[in-house]
This record gives sequence, C-alpha cells and structure tokens, in this order.
Amino acid sequence: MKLFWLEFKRFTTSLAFVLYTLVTVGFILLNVWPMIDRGLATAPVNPTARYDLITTTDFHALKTNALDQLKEEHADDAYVTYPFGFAKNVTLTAGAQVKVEQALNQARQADTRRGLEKALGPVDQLLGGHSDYQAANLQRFAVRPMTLAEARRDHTLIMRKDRITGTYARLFADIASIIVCILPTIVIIAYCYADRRAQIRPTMQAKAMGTPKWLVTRYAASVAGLLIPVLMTALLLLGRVILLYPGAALDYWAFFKAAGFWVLPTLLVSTAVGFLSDALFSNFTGFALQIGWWLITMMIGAHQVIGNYGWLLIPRHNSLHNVSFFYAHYSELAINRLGYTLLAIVFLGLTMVLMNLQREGKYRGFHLRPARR
Amino acid sequence: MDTIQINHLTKHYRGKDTPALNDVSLTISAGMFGLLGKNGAGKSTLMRILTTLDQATAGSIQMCGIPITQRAAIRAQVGYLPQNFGFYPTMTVSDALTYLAILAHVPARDQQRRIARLLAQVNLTKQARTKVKALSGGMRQRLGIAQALVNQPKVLIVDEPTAGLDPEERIRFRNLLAEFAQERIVLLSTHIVSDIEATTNRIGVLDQGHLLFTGTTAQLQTQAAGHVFASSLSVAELSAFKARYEISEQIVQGDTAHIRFLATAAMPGASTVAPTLEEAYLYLQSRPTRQGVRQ
Ligand SMILES: Nc1ncnc2c1ncn2[C@@H]1O[C@H](COP(=O)(O)OP(=O)(O)OP(=O)(O)O)[C@@H](O)[C@H]1O
Ligand SMILES: [Mg+2]
Repeated sequence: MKLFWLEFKRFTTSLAFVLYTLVTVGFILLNVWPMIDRGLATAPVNPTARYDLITTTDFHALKTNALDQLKEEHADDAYVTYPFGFAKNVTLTAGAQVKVEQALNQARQADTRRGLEKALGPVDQLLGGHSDYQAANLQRFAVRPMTLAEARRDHTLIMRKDRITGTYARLFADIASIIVCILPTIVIIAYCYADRRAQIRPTMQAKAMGTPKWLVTRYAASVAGLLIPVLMTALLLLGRVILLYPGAALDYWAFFKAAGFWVLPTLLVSTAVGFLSDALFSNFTGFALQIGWWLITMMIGAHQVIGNYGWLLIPRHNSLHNVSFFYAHYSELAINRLGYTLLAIVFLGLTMVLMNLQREGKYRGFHLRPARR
Repeated sequence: MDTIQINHLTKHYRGKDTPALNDVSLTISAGMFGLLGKNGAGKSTLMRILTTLDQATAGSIQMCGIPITQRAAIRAQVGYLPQNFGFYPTMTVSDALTYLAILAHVPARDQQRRIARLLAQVNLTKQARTKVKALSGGMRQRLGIAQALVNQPKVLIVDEPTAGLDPEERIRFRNLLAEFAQERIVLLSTHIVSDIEATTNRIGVLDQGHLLFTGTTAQLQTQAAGHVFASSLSVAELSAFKARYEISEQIVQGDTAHIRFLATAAMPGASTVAPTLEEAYLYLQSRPTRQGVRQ
C-alpha cells in the first residue's frame, strides 16, 4: 500500500499528468457544460414540434434523409466530407456536378440499402472520400425526429429511469471516453520513460519484488491518478444539474456510475497500451499506434454518434435523447465494456511477461528501424 | 559456504563476434574482492549476470550455495549498485530509500529504523528530506550504497562506484565499502588501481572477457618483478623511447626526463625497481594473452 502511495504521488506530480488533467477537464467541460439546461424537465406536449433525433432502422427514413441532404448540397455546390473526423468543405466542377445529379436521379430509384449504396458510391468518389455518402457512413442518415408519443416516452425514461442526471451522464461518458482513449497512453509512456532517463531500472530489477506485484501496483496508482479529472468533472457537472433542477428526483450517483462503467474500461485499455508500449518498444512508438487506433475508432463511431456501441472502444451516445436505444442496447454496451476490461488485463499480462524477460536479460526491446535501402 | 563460485562462465552478446566473457572461472570468498579491468573488459557484464539481470551463454554460478538460476533467492541475498546509479530526481532521499526498501521486501515495521540507520552509516541523515537531484555525485553514490544494503545482503556488488568522484569523496566511499566488507562478500569493480590498493589485496583482472589473473596484489606484483626499470634520459630521446617501451611514469626536469618503464629484460643504464601495483597491472596486460600476442 505504501508503494501505491509513493507511485501515486510521483505520478500525480509529473508534468505530463498536470497537462493531462488540464486538457481533460477542459475538453469535458467545454463539450458538456453548455448542454446542461433546464429543458429536460419539461414534458413534450406540442404535436407539431420537431423533436430531437433518434436512430431508426427504417430504410425509407434513411433514404429520404440522404437524398434531401445531397439535393441541398448539390444545389449549393457546397459539400462536406470528414477526413479523420474533421469537417472539410468541398466544391465540385461543373462536370462533376452533372455526374452528381445523375447519381441523385439513380438513387431515387433505389429500393434497397445495397441499391442506394451503389448509386451514391460515385458521389463519395467525386468528393474525394470520407463523405456521408460513403457506404459505411450511410448509417448516419438512419435517424428521424421523434413523434410526440416517442418524445413523451423518452421524457418518461429521462425522469423515471435516468432521473435526469443519468441523461447527462451518458453525454458526459461519450465525451470523456473520447479523451481518455488517447491521452493516458502518452502520459504513461512519459511516466515509464522517466525510469530510463533516471537510469533506475537495473536498481529496481535487482530487487526481490516480483514483477506482477510491482506492475499491478503501478498500474493501479496510474489509473487512480488518471481518473481524477474524470471524477472532478463528474462532480462539477453533478453540482450544475443539482442547481438547475431543485427539488427533482435525481440520481446522485449517475455520473460516477457512468465514469466507472463506461469511461473506465476505455481508460484501462489506453493505460495498459502505455505500459505495453514501454515494455515492447522502450520509446514513444506505442503512442503513434494508439493514435491510429483512436482515429479508426472515431471514424467508425462517427457512422452514427447518437447511439452506437457495438465493439467500439469509444461507445458513442452524443445525445440527450435516444434514451430507449440506450436501454434496449444496454447489454450490448455492458458486454463491450467487459470485453475491453478483459483486453486491458490481457495487455497487462503481456507487459508483465515482457518485463520479466527484460529483467532476466532475455529481451531488450523491439526497436523500429528505418528499412534498409 | 559464503562464497561465490563462478565456473567456466561465457557470455556472447547477440551480434558481437568476440564474447564479453570468455570461460571465466573464479572463487570469491567473504570480504572485499576487487575486479579490475579496462573499459569493455566485461566487468559490468559479469556483475549483471551475478545480479540475475543477464544470462550467461554457458557456465554456472553458485552464490552462497544457491545456483544463480534461482533468481528470487539470489535477489533476496544480493545488494547491487549499478554503474551510473540514478534515481527519480524529484523524490526525496528518504522516499527513494523507502521505495527501494519495499521493492527489496523489507518488512514494513523495520523500514523506518533500517533506513535511519543506513542514512547515518553513509552520512546522509541531514539530507533525508533533500531531493535526489540536489545531491552531489558523492552523496548520490552514498545513497546508492545505502539502497544496495537495504535488504542486509550477504553479497554486495558495486560497479565502478568511484568513477567521477573527487579524491576526498573517493576515499570516503572506499572506507565505507571496507566497513561493509567486514560481514559480507563485497565485489567491487573498477579501472582505477588506487581504489584496489586502498581497500583489498584480493583481486581479479579481466581483459577482453578473459580472466588474466586472480590472486593477491602481492602475487601480481611478484609476477612483474624484474620487469620494471628506472632511468633518466634527455627529453629529445623521449619520443623514440616511448615507441619501444611502455612508460609508467615520467617526470621532466629541464632537459632531463626521469622515467619508469616496463621491459622484458634488463638493459644497460637502467636500474631495476620494485613494481607498483599499477605497474604490475600494466605489465599483466602487456603480456601475450591466451589468444595470442597482443599488438
Ligand atoms: N547489451 C549489450 N549488447 C551487446 N554488447 C554489449 C552489451 N553490453 C556490453 N556489451 C559489450 O560487452 C563488452 C563488455 O562490456 P562491459 O560493459 O561488461 O565492460 P566493462 O568492463 O563494464 O566496461 P566499462 O569499464 O566501460 O564499464 C563490451 O565489448 C561491450 O561493448
Ligand atoms: Mg562497466
């Protein structure tokens, strides 16, 4: 336990950790704070109002949304694509515009998902890829506004099951997972690199303590430290909700449950990747790999951000609604989170094996060298 | 039973043609033992193998009756001060020692007392709250020796601990080692002959992975007897002379150079002198090795 505190103290006083805390708190608050208002308490009554979007499995809704958007973008010759998740404006030549129009006409005839994908494929190519019209991205159009009845059911779930905080906690978990999927890796690599810089390894390696105990202690201390900004923002957001909803029946634990159940598994993985990378490469290579993993996850997640769990390392639920989707897919999310927790344990086990080999002089790190010409 | 027995130890590093250790056999008993050798002789390699941090390609080691392959048992009875010892710069001396005491499985109730005693022994009590980065080179090495002793080891292995220390610190450090050698095996490596002269008379000399010599310093000096000479010559002759003989000492006064040098046989105009340990060491290394004649 003493070792845990010594590690924890050293970890939380490192520069990398302080920067991580600032960025993480900033990122979460910037994205979630403005979304918290008094709106959730009001029950929907207006039958003609346009309610928030929910995901749908209805092909016709998908097709209508896709073609409406394409028609508009085509008319203005102002398209948007999302290379690596960043929005990019695209305009087309007159010739390409004609081809888009042809594709649009053909797409109108499509009566299956396959047919629509085929018709819109050329549009994506004309736009240089990464557009909403790419086959994998068409899922983004599988949304529709709630009907009044649905909005009322949504509202009931928010008030009864989520008890308001739960609704905000999902958004919080969505945003927090994005950031803890990537930053901990670099913080951990820097933390391990300090050993090398201080030339400390031989001294420690010659001591009696077994590698598993040492590594698990260090891992636990790092994870505890890395959770600090997550829990801090959870507390701040909870305070905000309490102030805005006086007298409401709130779930005071919702943010912390989301932190533990939803955010933590992602953090366990990115942290374990940091340790594994240090053991494997003895340098910062692992961070580049984690950036790659993060980008891919973000891109797949972006196919549908208002409710998309599957096997994403960052399950998406960037919405204050679509509540029934969450409860309907709860077990899918739980299996996902459990799976990633197990993956983190596997990574840690691998790290342990590598560290033991290093300690016995059997493995000196795998260095990526530029290929010989 | 308190000996280290090294039998036919060989270590090949991958990608190197010549072995870092070549069929080294050596018995080290209680007290201080000096391992002498130039840069790249294989001293650190031997020590890393003895501390279980590296593996020999061939050969075996028994340490106080325990084979080196029983790593956990070996680690429990060894204290190690690596070459270039360092610690987290922002940790305090006492935190650093606590950290390493925990890793060394020192029981929690003994930690405080033991650390206080070690700090007193290495004269760092006043620096207990000082950060490691604020320590002088000598203080850092003394912290290094304290951490190596934290598990009360039967065997203390210190790799070139005096490198980079000023003369005062160096002497102080050697005295500390000699003190600790009273109740355990201390294996000290160095390429500085005076470190050995001041602390022990039992030595081994490593050169390019070969154990050239093992025995007492007196035996080493006896081997060189009759091969060290003193003479005086003019400064103008000096460079021609240097090309032929290994000079161990030269003091120039005006036009005359008073020199001591090594040679295989006596020569006119030079008087035979008793070799110093340093000269005996030079002589040993200038002789043909088992591998053939050295250039
Ligand atoms: N990890 C390694 N991989 C390959 N070769 C190594 C490695 N470590 C040491 N060597 C080689 O083994 C030989 C012996 O090195 P070693 O470090 O044991 O010498 P040393 O006597 O400790 O020298 P020094 O006085 O410079 O510390 C050298 O030729 C060195 O280049
Ligand atoms: Mg060395």
